[in-house]
Amino acid sequence: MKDKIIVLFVFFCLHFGIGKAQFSLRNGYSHLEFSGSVSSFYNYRNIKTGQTDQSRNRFAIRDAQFQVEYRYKKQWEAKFQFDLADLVTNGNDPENPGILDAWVKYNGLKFVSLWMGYGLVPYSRSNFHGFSNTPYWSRAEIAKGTFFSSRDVGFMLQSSLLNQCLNVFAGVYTGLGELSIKGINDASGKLEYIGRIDYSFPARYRYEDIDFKHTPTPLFTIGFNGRYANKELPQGTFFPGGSTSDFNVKVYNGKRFVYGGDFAFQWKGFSLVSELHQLKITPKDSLAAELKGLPLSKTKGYFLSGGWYVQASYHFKKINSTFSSRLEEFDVNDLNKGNSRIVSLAYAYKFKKTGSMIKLQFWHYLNEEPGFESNWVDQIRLGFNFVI
Amino acid sequence: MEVIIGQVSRTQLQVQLTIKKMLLKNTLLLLFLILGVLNVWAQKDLAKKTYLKPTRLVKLKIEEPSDMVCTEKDALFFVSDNGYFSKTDYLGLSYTKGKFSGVDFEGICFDGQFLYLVEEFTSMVHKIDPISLERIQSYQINFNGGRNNGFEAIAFNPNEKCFYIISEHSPSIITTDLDFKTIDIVDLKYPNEVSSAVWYQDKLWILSDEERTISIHSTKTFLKEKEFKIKINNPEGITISKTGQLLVCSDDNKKLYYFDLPK
Repeated sequence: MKDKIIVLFVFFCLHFGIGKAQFSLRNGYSHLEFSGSVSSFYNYRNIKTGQTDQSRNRFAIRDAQFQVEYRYKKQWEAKFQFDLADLVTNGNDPENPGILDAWVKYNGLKFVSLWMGYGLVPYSRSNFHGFSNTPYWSRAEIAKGTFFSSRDVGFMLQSSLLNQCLNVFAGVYTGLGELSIKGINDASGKLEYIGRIDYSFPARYRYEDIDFKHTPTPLFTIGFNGRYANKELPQGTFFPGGSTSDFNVKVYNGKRFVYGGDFAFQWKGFSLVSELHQLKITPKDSLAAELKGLPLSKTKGYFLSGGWYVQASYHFKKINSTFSSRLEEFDVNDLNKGNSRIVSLAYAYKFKKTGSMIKLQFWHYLNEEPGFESNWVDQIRLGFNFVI
Repeated sequence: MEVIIGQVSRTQLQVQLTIKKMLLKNTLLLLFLILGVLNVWAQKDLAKKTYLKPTRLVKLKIEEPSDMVCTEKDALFFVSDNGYFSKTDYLGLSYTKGKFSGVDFEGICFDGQFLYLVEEFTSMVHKIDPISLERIQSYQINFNGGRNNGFEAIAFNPNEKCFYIISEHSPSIITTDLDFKTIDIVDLKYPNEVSSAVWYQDKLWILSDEERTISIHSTKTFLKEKEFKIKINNPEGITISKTGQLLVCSDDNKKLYYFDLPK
């Protein structure tokens, strides 16, 4: 215990420089902007009795990101962002992959923008929330990339109306999530279609989960999104390794329809965000393991998966601190009894001049779905996110 | 007979579980207690600050208004994040669009003869004729801030015959001569973010969206002398009218708020 306290103390003693984030170069109306971030943490897992693997008790670099953005007048935008911490380890964490953005956007049309390349897909509100503006180290399980992808390669139309209160997105993507950047599709060759609409009232609601500004009038937003892919693989072929995720629902040999909604509210420093998602998966193979060998009369040929989370936060301007709690539940397969439930508490201290943060998050499993158990009960992570 | 799971008995497991539940419950309780105390403390501090109450508000036709300036008794000029400017009457009813457009205009000021529009994207200042609404000249200011860290405000000091151009986050005030050559650069100690600024009676009035404050600063030291709180969503522009009213516009709400000038 003593060595853990020393480790945490040393960590707190790491100090932060005060600087100005983002730098740019201009050539008339062409604009090139550079920014980045570094984040590092210490993680401790309280593993279950009988478990022996404590390899997750470690210091780690989460991000060593570099970002280049290009703009020409209002018409053209392009962004390239990569994470060296993931590239050198060849990591494929869907929440934090090696290549984060590589896209071009054309804003020259009156009501719609055209987007093409690799980047975040318009599904799930938390997908739009930046890591440097949340006290959490990790998103809720349902939204972190194990049930559905956060990024993909494709083409998207985007429109913002009513002073940006109404946002509409429609896109078509390869459908293999973060793996699509390798330039491959599965043997079905089919694509994934994604759409989203959100409306905020009485004014524009920015995609932020914390009310850092202390909004003086209550702001609400509600969003609905859906995605569909029919990826029925030819006999004897498989999805590329790593594309299906631990829960085997991220892409599936069959029809996969995902739909969900979200709600957010903020007022005077208090903010509430909630999301609900459901996956309806109809396997091509009627004997698929996920149907648990149950008769067609009971399964109707499909199984459901999904989950929800509710997150409440308060930001204290005076002490630059955010306190947040989150309750989440997920069910990998409705034909499998039981759900997993996790409670998380988070604290962040935000440095005023830079926007950099010290973050602390605590996770605790309240329930676990049989067959999808982890080897730990509690986890705590303390670290910093330094914005350049 | 006691059931053994792994190397631990069922009773031991139950005890461990009870302890963990108690720990979790008490941690949550302590957290709420700390939050409650901090909240009371924060509210008490807020109550000490003076809130300005608007005497009137009007809905604007301008998309994403980011700043405005009052040039005469019944004339206001607005700039928009969408890269255009327009002239309206004092109540924002009539509307004439300017003949020059850019990318994202963030600030506007008036030197008694011409309008000056500052653009965040290009770090340029554009000189505009308020009668013909046409561009006369553009000036490039050497500043390498990125998005949301570029120029957000411009103000003219008629006594010193200089302009103040201010960046948004971790704000710097760049003082320039009439040809926009840099005279001085000072880091502003407060606020941490600037949305707009106006010179009035030898003081610099600074509006901050994130702080939701209007702070009055010395033009010699740029230190804060007074501060007022406002309850406006996303305030982006500030000006003081010829009749001595304080005007603030909200970008997200597309509204213009009128205040009595605080003392």
